[in-house]
Amino acid sequence: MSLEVYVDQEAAKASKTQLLQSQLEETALQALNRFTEIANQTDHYDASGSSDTMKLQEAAGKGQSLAVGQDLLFLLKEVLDRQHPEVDLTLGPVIDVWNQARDKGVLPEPELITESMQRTGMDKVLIEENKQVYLTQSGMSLDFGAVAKGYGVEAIWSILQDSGLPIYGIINAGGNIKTIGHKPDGSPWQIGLTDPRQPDQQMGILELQANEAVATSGDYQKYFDVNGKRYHHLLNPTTGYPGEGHHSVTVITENGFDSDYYSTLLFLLPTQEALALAEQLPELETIIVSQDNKVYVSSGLTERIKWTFQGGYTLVTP
Amino acid sequence: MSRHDRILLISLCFLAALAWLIQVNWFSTEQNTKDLALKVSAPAPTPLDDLSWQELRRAGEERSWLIQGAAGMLKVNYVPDQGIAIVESSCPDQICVRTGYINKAGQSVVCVPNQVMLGLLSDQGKGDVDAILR
Repeated sequence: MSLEVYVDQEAAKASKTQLLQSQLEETALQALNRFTEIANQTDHYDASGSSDTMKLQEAAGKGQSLAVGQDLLFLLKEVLDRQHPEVDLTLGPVIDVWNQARDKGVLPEPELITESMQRTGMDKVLIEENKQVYLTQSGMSLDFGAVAKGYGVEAIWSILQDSGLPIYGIINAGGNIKTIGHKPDGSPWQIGLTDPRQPDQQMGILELQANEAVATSGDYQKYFDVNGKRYHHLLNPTTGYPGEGHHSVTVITENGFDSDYYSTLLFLLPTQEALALAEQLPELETIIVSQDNKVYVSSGLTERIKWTFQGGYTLVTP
Repeated sequence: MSRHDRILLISLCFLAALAWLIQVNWFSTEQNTKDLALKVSAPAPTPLDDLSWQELRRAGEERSWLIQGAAGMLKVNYVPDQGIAIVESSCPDQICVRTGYINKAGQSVVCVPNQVMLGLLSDQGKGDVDAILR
């Protein structure tokens, strides 16, 4: 994760603000601490066992609901409310099975997938009226990988924005980026898009406006190969196996959480459904690279991408 | 951007499978340069600290160094036309070694257990782009 914050000296002069380095440092550290706090609270491996996630897992199936912090409450409630079965924060047990298989370099036993899938499902997450949370089955575990980084990026952005400092910059958490304000010359931010088949190369350059967020879910981000077939980390909550159909899905929105959420959701939907959903949501744009190497772009993006790939892909514009 | 004084804050936090590590480095950038800078972060001074990326490229020779990390030693290689990489590490997961060579602005290679980071940065917008979406 990198956070680059530049001081716009002309804006600082215009507002007659005496910007001290310490002010910026304090704000940036506050933002990073917030990011770390979110990371800690959403960590289901936290060795200290003190995260909200660990406490919920410990209490799962024991009939006792727990008060959790604002971060977990927001993430769980938001995902429950949206009711997209493709985005599931309870996949911890099946992710553990895949991680163990990956470490051994073999495919997981189907029985293990079946067994672990029985301990998943957002319908087993209850948020009570008093905002206490209960996981209804023992052995459940939460994994916030689909949304935590986007939510963290948004939290950093909010703190920097609320500071009122005359700054511009970019928050880059790898697969999640958000811009902070305009560049001083008013030109759009230029974001390199990773080529999912050659992740050390870029396939295009995307223009982002001020305060726009973008996220990519890709089959190249975390994976292992068995017998020439790729098994990646974006699991289909219905099957417990990696989602098929796409190499990568990139989503551009205003909000970091939304970009992360929708990149996971669209990755796991069939291509045409994903494109249709993107077109229904006016504030959302998408770039979909399908497994048959077609590149689909939603209608609002066609003028905002400069493609640099040399071949191997077929561009499908709306 | 060149008309503006800049303060560049780079904070690096890395999500590993088990932990997120945050490192914060402050530095001011030189103006009017499109050159890349090699930035090294490690628990102790390293032989790479004073290296200039430009000089490495100009020399065009393969080089390697040993770095003391928090959990043991790491070996770093520079290979012309490939870039710089951690090629050996004492860490258990070897994620840093698997990252391979980096040679473009915005790329970094990180060893979380050893608390070592190599990054290539540009103060003029990462060459053609401002950031790379991974």
